[in-house]
Amino acid sequence: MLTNRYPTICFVLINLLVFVSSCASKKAPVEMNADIPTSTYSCFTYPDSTSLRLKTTINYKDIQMSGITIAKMYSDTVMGMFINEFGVTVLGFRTKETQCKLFSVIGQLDNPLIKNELKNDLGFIFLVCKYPSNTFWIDFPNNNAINLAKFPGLDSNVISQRYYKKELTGDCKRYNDTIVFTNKKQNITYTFVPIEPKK
Amino acid sequence: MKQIITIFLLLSSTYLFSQGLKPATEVQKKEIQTNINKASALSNTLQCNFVQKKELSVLSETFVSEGTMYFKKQNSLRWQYTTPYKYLFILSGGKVLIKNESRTDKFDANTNKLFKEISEIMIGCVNGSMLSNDSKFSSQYFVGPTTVVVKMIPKNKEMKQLMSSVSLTFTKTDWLVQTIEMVEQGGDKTIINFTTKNVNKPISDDLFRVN
Repeated sequence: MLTNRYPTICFVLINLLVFVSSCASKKAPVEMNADIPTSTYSCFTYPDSTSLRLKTTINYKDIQMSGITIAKMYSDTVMGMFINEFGVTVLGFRTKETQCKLFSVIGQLDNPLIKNELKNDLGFIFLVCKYPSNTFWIDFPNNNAINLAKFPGLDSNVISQRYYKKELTGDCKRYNDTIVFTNKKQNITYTFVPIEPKK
Repeated sequence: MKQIITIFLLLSSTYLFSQGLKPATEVQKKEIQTNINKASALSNTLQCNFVQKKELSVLSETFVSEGTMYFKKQNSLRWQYTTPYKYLFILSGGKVLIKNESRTDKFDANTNKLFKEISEIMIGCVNGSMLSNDSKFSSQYFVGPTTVVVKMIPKNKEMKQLMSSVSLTFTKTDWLVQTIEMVEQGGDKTIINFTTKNVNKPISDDLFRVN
């Protein structure tokens, strides 16, 4: 009798194991269930009526690009412009979840490799999304994941870490009101300091 | 594309007419050039404050910055932003110094295409030499009751990438540049308005020191 039932028991056990291991995963899908309480993830706090204005520097090797980033939130989309100090538009970006599109890119940066890095980085830095409050992770369909947790031993300034196929590719850190994002693969550092509104 | 350029030129012409400006005749154009060249020849130094407004059409936002500009013949320029950020640009003897809140960079103006173009525009706008730069710009002159506007359309590829037009407004009293308006290909505008102009007031060479 037991011998006859052996395949069934094995099948049930394997299924149970798969089910338990999937439940034990820290990752949660980004699709929201209306019953689960949610939090909003964003590196920045966007003003209600006006735009976010940030002194910006981008460092790569010994090259530095500096200017001002002006960003505005429209519902679930963030629109931003990066201009240099003389007022010349360097680039514009539009982010919605992890999707980022660049526009009005200055000729000097109009290279597919540079644009791709900028697109991925700006998409992560200016990401605004909802996630279930009880999770440490947000998974995205394009193999990107964000670690929102502060595990023991992790730098206390870390806000979030970006993973691509489980490999750490960047992190966002906060130092007082300054946000620093490091692209770990290309060693590009983005620094954002808020500009105080004129009184 | 041609249609877009035609519409843009028509709209900008309509705007200029609404400011009481009329296209200059050939005689007026020559007079304007003479007056500007005369004023430029008599100005060995120029010091003024400026207000820079960047209009971002996509965000419907205007970003305002302020600073001071120093110019000394022949081609020494100190362009300094004081608010809401600190940024210093010095061009002297073909060398450029750029200092922001975190670092200082020095380089040869000819080695950086972007800054070479920006430097040429800035110097050309301040000393009026841009008006005679026929190889890089085609120009249209407009005359108003108290001002003259010279609208310049870039001819070369590098300049076109930076902007679709630069308009210089000169006052008929001192024939010095009062306003610079740069329009980018995407429609964004940068308007720099000069105030408290000091002509031929001694300016220390230290302010233009790059090394």
